[in-house]
Amino acid sequence: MRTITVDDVIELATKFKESEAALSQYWVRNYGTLPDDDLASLVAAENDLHDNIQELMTNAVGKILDDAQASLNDIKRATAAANDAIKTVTEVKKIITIATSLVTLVAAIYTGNLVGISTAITDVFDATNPAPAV
Amino acid sequence: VPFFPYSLVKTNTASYFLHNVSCKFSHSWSLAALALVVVTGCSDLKPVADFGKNASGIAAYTGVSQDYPASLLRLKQYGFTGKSVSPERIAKRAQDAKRLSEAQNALAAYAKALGGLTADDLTNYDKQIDALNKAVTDGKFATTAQTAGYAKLTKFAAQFATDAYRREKLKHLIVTYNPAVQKATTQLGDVVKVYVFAVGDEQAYWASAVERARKHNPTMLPIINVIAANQDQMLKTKQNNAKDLGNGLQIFARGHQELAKNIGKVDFKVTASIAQKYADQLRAILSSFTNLPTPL
Repeated sequence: MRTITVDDVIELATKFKESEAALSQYWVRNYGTLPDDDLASLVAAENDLHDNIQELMTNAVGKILDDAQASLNDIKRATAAANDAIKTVTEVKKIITIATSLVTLVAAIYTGNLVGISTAITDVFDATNPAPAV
Repeated sequence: VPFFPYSLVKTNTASYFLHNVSCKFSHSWSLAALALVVVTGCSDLKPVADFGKNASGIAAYTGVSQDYPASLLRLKQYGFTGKSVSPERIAKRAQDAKRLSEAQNALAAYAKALGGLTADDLTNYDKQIDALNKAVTDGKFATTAQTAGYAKLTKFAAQFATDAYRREKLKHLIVTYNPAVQKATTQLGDVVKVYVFAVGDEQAYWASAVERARKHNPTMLPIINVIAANQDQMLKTKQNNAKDLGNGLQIFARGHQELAKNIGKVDFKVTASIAQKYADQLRAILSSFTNLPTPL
């Protein structure tokens, strides 16, 4: 068990901010080629992530993490995997799924939902590395 | 949580005078020497005065507390509509900003009193103690009963203002307040760190909004670029000033800690050189604060 400090929150939020920036860059790269609905969904996902990063900064300090279920390192690894995926994946639907799983992860952290954090980490990894189609 | 540990203040003024002051002035020649000291001042205490003065200048920087709620309002201006910019969140930020401002005021008043105790001219010292006590009661860091007690202890008997008397008062002030100074600077530093990140986050959101505006309105690029550059500059300046505030608070805390550890235990020249080192570092930080560009 450990308490989340201001420095922890800033480190985590910095990682999530990289995801937000990657979403924005994807939008810019694909403007004019993607349908309006997809562009709007990307902006919505970026806004959701931004919103939840702000909430993380406001509410996460002092929350408890249970390392047995999900450590800070697990969260960082999942976020890094998501960042890599957003930068390399080309399929918009998949990008939006990754962003949505990140939003759920951020929300689980600042609400102190220990089970939710663990589940969300699994979901982020699933979204970045889906099982091959059979 | 009490900001200043008044419960730690145990020195009894009457016994202090009996043991440390009155016995030193039982001869008439001492009074003549004392008059000379009062007239000439205490130049060896100047580094401590500088340390207090520069620290109070840094702690008094209001940019962060003023901008803490405003940064959320700016996000709304950029078109952001999430729950993090709701009226409730903005109201909470405004409350936090008030607490931040009160803590800064208390810290600035303390640093000013620290400098005042060592200054050549003591005529304003009692007023500085009154200002310090007002700041700590305004911020609800102490009750008026506690501050009245502390004022009795710290206010100056100017007629006894020898170097030795000042040094003893200084030691008492620094050692007594050190835990509170450490706690306050850590708390303030944490808020500043969050603010620095929040402004960085705002910059990223702004950059993203600008990119979208450029794509949607290619004919307005020149205007968008001018507005974007001005806003970028303003946000960078805010962020740099906040970083300076954070660095200044850390240096003040470190310097105060070192002074508390050494004062009364080593030759006062060593204490003065420690104060001078940190006073110089704080002066460098003070000079690096930048004025904000005018918004368009």
